Amino acid sequence: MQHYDAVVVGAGIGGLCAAGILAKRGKKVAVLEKNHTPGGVANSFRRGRFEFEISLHELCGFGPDDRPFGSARRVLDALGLSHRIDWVRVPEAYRLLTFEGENPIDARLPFGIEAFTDAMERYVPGCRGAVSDAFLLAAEIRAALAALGAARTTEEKAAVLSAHSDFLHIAGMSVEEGLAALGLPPRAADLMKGYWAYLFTDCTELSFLHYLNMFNSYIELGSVIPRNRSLALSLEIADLIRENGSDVFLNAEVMRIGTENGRAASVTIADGTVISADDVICDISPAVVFGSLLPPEVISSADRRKTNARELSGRGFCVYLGLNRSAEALGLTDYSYFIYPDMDTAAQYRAAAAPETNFIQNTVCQNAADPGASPSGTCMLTMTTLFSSDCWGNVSDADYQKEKEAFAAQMIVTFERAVGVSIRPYIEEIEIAAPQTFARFIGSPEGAIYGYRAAEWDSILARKMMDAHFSQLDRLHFCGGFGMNLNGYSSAMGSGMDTANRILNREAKK
Amino acid sequence: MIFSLNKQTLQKDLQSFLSLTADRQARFDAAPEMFPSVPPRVNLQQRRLHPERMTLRFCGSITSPNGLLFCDFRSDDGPLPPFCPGQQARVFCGAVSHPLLLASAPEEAAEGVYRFGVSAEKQQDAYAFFERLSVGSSVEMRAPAGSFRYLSLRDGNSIVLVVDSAGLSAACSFAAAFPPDGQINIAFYTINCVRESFFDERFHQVDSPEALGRPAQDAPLFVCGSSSLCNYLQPVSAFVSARFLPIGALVRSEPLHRIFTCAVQTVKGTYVVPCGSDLPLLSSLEEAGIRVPVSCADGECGCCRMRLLSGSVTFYDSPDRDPRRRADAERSVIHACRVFPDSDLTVSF
Repeated sequence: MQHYDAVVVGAGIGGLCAAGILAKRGKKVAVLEKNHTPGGVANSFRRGRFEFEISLHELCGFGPDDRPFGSARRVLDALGLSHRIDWVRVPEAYRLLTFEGENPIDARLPFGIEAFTDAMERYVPGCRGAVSDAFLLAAEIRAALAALGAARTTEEKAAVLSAHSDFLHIAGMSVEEGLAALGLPPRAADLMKGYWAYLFTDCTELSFLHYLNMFNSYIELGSVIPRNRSLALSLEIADLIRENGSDVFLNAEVMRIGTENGRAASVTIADGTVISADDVICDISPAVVFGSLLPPEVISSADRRKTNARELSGRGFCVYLGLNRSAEALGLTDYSYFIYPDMDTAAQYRAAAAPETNFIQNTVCQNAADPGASPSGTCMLTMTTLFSSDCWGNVSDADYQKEKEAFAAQMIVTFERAVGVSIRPYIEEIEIAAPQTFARFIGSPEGAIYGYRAAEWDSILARKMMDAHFSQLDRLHFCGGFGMNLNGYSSAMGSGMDTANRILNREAKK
Repeated sequence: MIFSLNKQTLQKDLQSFLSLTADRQARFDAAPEMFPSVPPRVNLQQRRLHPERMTLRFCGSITSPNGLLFCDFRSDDGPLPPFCPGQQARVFCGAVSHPLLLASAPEEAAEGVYRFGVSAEKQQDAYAFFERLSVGSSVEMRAPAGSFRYLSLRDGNSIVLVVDSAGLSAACSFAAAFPPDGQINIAFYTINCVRESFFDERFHQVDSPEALGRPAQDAPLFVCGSSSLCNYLQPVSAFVSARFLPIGALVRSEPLHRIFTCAVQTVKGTYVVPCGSDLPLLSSLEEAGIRVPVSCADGECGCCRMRLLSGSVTFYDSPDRDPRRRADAERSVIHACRVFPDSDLTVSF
């Protein structure tokens, strides 16, 4: 039986980062991935002349060299990889389009706090003061969260809260409440809520401090995409792991996690190989780990309850289009389109429970950021939506293909109408990923690609304050999309690094 | 200070802050204790109907006038799963595997018969093996992979199929999969390549790739045939959308006639095996008995990707073709099915 300091189950971006940090610090790590390629959904695939990102719209939290901030930047700097990837800057924050109601929105919001504030003032005269306050508040939120993280005792934490009374005031607020408390006019609040589908909890429940903190980072630092797609990023981290003497095994699905003396101690791969380890890090769903990988007798009642209490966030549905006209010829001038019927986010979230009523869409045109992303005279569009229920689980196998195509057709038509362009005659390649597709590829229950829903009681602050560690089973850790952070690449990467650091700190204390 | 706050508001804010954790704990305490249910492994039609490996029994063969050997197999386990027409299957004869074309229509699979088409010109080894099969002998088949994708959103109601003899049966299977109610119009074309001959009136012959320009403007063009057919049609692909399915064993265009060694590092240990310069690395590894994960064997699916730790290879596909190939090449990742060894090698997967 081979022995490693740590085993990582699943080579998603979170697991890769955990392994990378550990490997760089001299630990011997084995990453085990069931697919033939690392990265999970941090990956890409080819159809005809086009190469599509599976899931990445933009990498947020990756500041430029003169402002190397953000969780993705932090992790990639720690790995020494920030300059090994060929990055392309995304040109603008987003274009927000609504298409129902009397006063539909069509707004383009830029990166940069000043530019953003100016644009907001142009769209909603008089809102400049409140928008500026929002960014000031975001700065305080950042400071308070950092101080809270450093505080050890209850007294220290209480002192942080007293010193940051604005933070404390909004700490329990939803996005709706917070934007109103800042005095933002409703139209301006609508424009600032445009990003909500990325987090996929509606604004009456979504934590304001989390949204604002993240939105501030987004506007301030901008975002990037890797020119050679996420596969290049995942391969870089996998190579780094190997360069440091550790291993990444592909086509190696973990079927069982073994325990010894009350702690996680080994994994068994599909072909029967057993690997023992001091720590087992899981970049897969706790439901799968507790439901099928661990022997039942070692799973505490608390862990079972915790896992059952949590709600899955969005189930992914994507349409990948390769078009045989250039973006300019088609009138596609923007990189990121947020398209909603309206900005009643609670109603939209409820409507996202069924294919018949889900018209939420975030669509990116790769070529608007990277003109060379596909051959000259072509362009790429990736349309994404999320479902707030397991409605696709009810589709029979016989109807599956038909239903997939029907919903994809709706997404395409919705885009055409909202943006005022024609797409359908120019489709050269099309691939459709329903929740089942994601479930099959990464083993995520119901095809959930955003981990657990950030309900009010399961917000980032509640998680951080309560659970430094998800599981009671010693030496069992979770990272990635189902880890302790929320969804998205930079959150998953951050959770991987946090997990690695937790293990390293524990070892250092010995 | 952004908000106007006082002692009362501070008190209320603190309560609300602390209730975040109180609510969370309450949720956990109230949740059911049973083991989390894991949904059954998602089985879509294609997946469920394609087990990892199937055992098939040979039940007879026919040689067609143009030299294609059609071999029929039945399964001991009843009706065979249908498939997307034109798919390749990997058939295992002992330690050696051959990528073959499934030439039967889904209806025949429903009756329990798979028919493989093998060309003496294109795949001498496989042809020699299958010619010698006796009725009742068994082979193993790995799930088919790779297919034409027909999507109404993209392809509409008219399709153009361009074939040569290697792709003839796949194309016919593809066409046979559509209901004969006339809603989908399929036009067949063959390119006037040397030594091709067809006796089927459905097929129109064209003399040059450019002549396909007009029909292909009104309908998507599917190309099914040997790599040489696809190369021949390259000028056309610049102005039509063509979905290619190259078929046929890969050989090095200028043979070196050398034997090298390949050290293979896996989680189970390191093996040193011989590999020929003129065959894809995958073929050599399989002949040596190493179980390489493989699906399409055509450079598409990535199942056989491995890391080249030392030595050099010749790529069949240019690494500059697309970002993924570039990323792979920069990181010394190869697809074993699409490279020829140029020296002693060390790989790991």
